[in-house]
Amino acid sequence: MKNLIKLSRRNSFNLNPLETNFELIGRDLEAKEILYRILSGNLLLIEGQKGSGKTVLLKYAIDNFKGKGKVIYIDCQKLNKRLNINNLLKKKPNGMILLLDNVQELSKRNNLRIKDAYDKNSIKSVIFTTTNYNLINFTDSIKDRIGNNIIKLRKLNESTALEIIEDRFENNDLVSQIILKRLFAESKNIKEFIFKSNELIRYVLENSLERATIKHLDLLPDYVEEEDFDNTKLCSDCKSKLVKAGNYWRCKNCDNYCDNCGTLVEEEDNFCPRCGAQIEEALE
Amino acid sequence: MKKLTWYNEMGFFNNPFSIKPAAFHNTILGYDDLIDQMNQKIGESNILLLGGKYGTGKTSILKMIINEFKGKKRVIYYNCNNKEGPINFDKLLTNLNFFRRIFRIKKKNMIILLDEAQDLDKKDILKIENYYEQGFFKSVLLVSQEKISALTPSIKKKFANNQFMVRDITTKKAIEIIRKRIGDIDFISDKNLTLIFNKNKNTRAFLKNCEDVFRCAYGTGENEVTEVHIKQILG
Repeated sequence: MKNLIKLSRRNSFNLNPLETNFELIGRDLEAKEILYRILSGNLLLIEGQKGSGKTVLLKYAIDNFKGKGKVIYIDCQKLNKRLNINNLLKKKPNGMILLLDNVQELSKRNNLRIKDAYDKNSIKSVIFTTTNYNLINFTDSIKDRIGNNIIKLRKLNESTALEIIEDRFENNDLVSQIILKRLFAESKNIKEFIFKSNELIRYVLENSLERATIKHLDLLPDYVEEEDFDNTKLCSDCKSKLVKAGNYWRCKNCDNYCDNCGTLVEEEDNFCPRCGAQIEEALE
Repeated sequence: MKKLTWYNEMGFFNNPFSIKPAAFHNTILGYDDLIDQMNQKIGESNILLLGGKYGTGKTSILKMIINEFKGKKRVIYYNCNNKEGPINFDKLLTNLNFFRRIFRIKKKNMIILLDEAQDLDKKDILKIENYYEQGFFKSVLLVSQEKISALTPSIKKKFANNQFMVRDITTKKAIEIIRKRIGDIDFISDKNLTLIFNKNKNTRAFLKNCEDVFRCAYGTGENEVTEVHIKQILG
């Protein structure tokens, strides 16, 4: 029990990389690249599957540059779709470092705004992470700026994975290497592996067992991947559902927009000034 | 702890191959004639159009034009990527100082530079034309890499003689740009710079390639960029 409290305090069971403070293991090359790209004012894209350790790398960047009010971390999955990202950057000094997690969720307009801010040097460097490069709403002008600055995260090997668990749980041998290896083989990604090891160690400690055995593996709960956030598609003002129009997300109650392309229009307009489509009067 | 990069160790304070527009301003090269011509046209009150591919230096040229006319509160730069609906030109014209904001006096004779003009819509174009004729805008410069779909025939007529294109730079100019940024160091020879330039003649791509090659060469500890490094990075 004592051990359980101690490890909980150490945050050993926490799966959110932003809330924990463990050393970065097995990603030396990537870490070096991230530091360099941030310092030299470049754009960098990190591509990797769910749970492969993208956010951990961003946390590493935060740790290295924090303390001067220069780093912004945004998880685009939790960002309201209707939001203008310029509002977040307003009144910030020049030379900010922007870390954008899950950039595939970011709208095309916001991507263009980021490009503009980067050109004006109000953002010094940007690190994007994504699960799939092809899903991003990048325009060619941003792709051109990123160029070859893309890291594809490879899968960590077995020995590195074991090292991570050792680091998290302070080398206690509650679980044997053989069991950990088996867990690793059963897991799709590193996050799932850590989750399973967490649950196993927690089970052992809670029941005051001496060591985990193969039998305990069947008792582990299933790993559930994080669900996508749904409230990003709600209006930030009136909480009604947002509608996708063209490249924009709009609110039916709060915005006056063209259904075809999403541009904001004025009340007296009968035709959209951008695409020429007729604008229907909102029904009361 | 100060983290040192290769360029710090070589004695540069900032990344000499920064791809930001006019990162080291007043040293834009290769477009002197073009900028002179454009400055003259802008001074004579005209509508201008500037086109060109990605990364050839359109925004850098804009910055040089701002440099030429700045200081008298006469230039407005607006990036059309930032717009969501029709651009509020009145706000751009009155927001310049406190009194104008209070009494909503619009300034006349302004030079307006519109970057990424492909995002303009018909209403904006009509308004620009209108303001140009009323004298609020002395000159208008539209910058775009694509065709601007919303242009009206009457505005097309106005800039018919004032269309400019940014083209890829020559090898000589490319080497000059790099030399201006890094100085006459022995770390790389002109021959090898040409070799890098021939891999990709786009200015931005060239700068990026130079950065990667330099970083690689410095990392190996050798005191010169060789063909081996270039081959290793650029294939």
